[in-house]
Amino acid sequence: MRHTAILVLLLLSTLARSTCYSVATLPFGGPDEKAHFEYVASMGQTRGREIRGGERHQPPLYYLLAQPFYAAAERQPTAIQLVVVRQLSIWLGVLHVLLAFLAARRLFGNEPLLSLGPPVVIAFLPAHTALSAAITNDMLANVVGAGLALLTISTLHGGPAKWTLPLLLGLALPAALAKFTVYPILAASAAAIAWAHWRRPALRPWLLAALLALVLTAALALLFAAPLVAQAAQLPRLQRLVTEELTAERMQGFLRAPFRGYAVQMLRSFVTIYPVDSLWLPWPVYAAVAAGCAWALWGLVRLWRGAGIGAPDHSCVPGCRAALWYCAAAVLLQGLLALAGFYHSQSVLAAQGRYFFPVLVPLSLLFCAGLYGAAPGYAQRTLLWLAASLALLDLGSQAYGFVVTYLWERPV
Amino acid sequence: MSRILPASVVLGMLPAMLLAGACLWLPVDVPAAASRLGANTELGLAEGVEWTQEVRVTGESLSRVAVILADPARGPDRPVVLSVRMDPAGPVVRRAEVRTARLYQGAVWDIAAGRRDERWTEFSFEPLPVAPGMTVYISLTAPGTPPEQAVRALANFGPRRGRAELTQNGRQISDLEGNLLYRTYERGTVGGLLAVSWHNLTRGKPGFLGVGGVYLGLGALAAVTTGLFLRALAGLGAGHGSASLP
Repeated sequence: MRHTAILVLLLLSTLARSTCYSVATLPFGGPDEKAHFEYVASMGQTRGREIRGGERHQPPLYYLLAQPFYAAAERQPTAIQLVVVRQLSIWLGVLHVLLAFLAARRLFGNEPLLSLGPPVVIAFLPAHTALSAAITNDMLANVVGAGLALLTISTLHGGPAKWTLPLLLGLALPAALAKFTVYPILAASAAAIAWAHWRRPALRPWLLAALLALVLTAALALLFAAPLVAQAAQLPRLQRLVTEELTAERMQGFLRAPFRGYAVQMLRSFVTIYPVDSLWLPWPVYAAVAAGCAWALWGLVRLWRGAGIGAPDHSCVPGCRAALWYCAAAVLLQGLLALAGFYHSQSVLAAQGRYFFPVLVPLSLLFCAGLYGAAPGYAQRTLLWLAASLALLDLGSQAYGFVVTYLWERPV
Repeated sequence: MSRILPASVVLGMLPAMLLAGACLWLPVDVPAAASRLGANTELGLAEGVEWTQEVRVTGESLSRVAVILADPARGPDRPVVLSVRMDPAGPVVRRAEVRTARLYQGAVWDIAAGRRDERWTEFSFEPLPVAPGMTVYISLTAPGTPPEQAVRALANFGPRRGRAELTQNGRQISDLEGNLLYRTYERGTVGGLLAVSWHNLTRGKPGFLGVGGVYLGLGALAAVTTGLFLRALAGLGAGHGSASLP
């Protein structure tokens, strides 16, 4: 009950902070927000017959969900329309935090650092708060990714249930219609759930039936809605990548690329807010984050080798180890996708932390498990320090960002 | 109230709040006047080429000028000099320089206002006392730089409105009205800086109970909910954090 009360406060805080930032963010200040808003507006104005804007290649689900918000403010000035349509992202952000809590509690039970840590990390990550305050389909991809993580962790932890495969198929559809950044975690989840079913001979027929259903659905979708499928799967882009961009010369350039700049830019955009591109926080902030990650990695190794995970006397057994493998696989696959983006553009500017956000739940679970493993006797204090420092980082960097942003008059 | 915020916490916060309050009077440069941000022309700064911009200042001093500069030729390190005069033909009253090695080494349009990599080069000097509305003249040149390696600045040329003038070596170069892209700062305080930012943040935004009320209300709500969350977390039962997972 205590945990639930704390969670409610965390969700209220997330809601209040995101709303605050959504009102204060510059018009079209989110990542590619103008193009995303044009998608929403043109879909609303033409009833979906003509989609305009630089993001018109994106799958349509987020923009469909945004229609009620757009309709509510259609006759208002653009500045008000933006604030109203941003509400969708805000609520998706709150849902993301809730799903992180459910996944963490399912895996680790009531231990405070392990069950409340992951939602705290997501709720107070400044880049996540900033993204929640902008019109972008990234937020839908994040929530679908979190849903997939919850389903997979539940399956690996407690074993497959009757509804696991239908739910996976049910989540695959919004995943396909959200954004291609959710594909890595979809692949990892599908593989993990299939493995969990395959291990139990009694469930193998169900797995084969689900595969058959998937193949049939894909065939029907291609038959009746090939353009939509192609758009959702970004097939033209993939085709260009295979036929035009995978060249030996380009690969050599990629391997010679300055990865240090890429890593620094990735860390910066993962931690701090997006809308102010010129915003660099003092370097000790990034150094502290990097040190925290290294500390957690060491703790994870320590936990893995010790008696914590896999010991016969705690509730995490037997699925905990498998679930953490799944988390690591999802994060690694997402990293490969991010590297592919770097290869595609051959530019450091392609390093954007938000491409990792669909795996924020697995990532934060690993991070908090690592913090726990590093100092198990100080879990309660670690959680408090983590929450306080992230809250300070979030409030401080957002406030600093807005002061810098608004030093000069901007068009409304 | 004492249950939510114990007296020890309030007493502990008092010095921090006093310190934060005192910081509001720290001296900093506060944004004052700015040109239009849209640019349509590149200017070249080189030996013997001096661009002079007429600027109407809005503050009570002039302590810093920022312009958009790039060194696309990536030539040797040389100075770029900014001079301030009260009269076009008068003596230089303030002077500052930056080195070309510090400038963006690429096309100046890459760092234009509104671009993702927007970058301003700042010239700081001892605050010059002025009266609001007074006109000063800002000159830019790059001594020792050959014309083929000219440092680039951005300007806007448009219909003449009689507001300002941009000249090259004292002569008009076009029938159109020219404006170097610039920003000026006056010497003020942190409090003044926050006031400017607050004014721009709330200007023209949707709201009720007065625009400022919305922001204050939302900010207070965010702070209160976050504070209550942290407090609840701190009060989470002791005894957790055993050496093994639950």
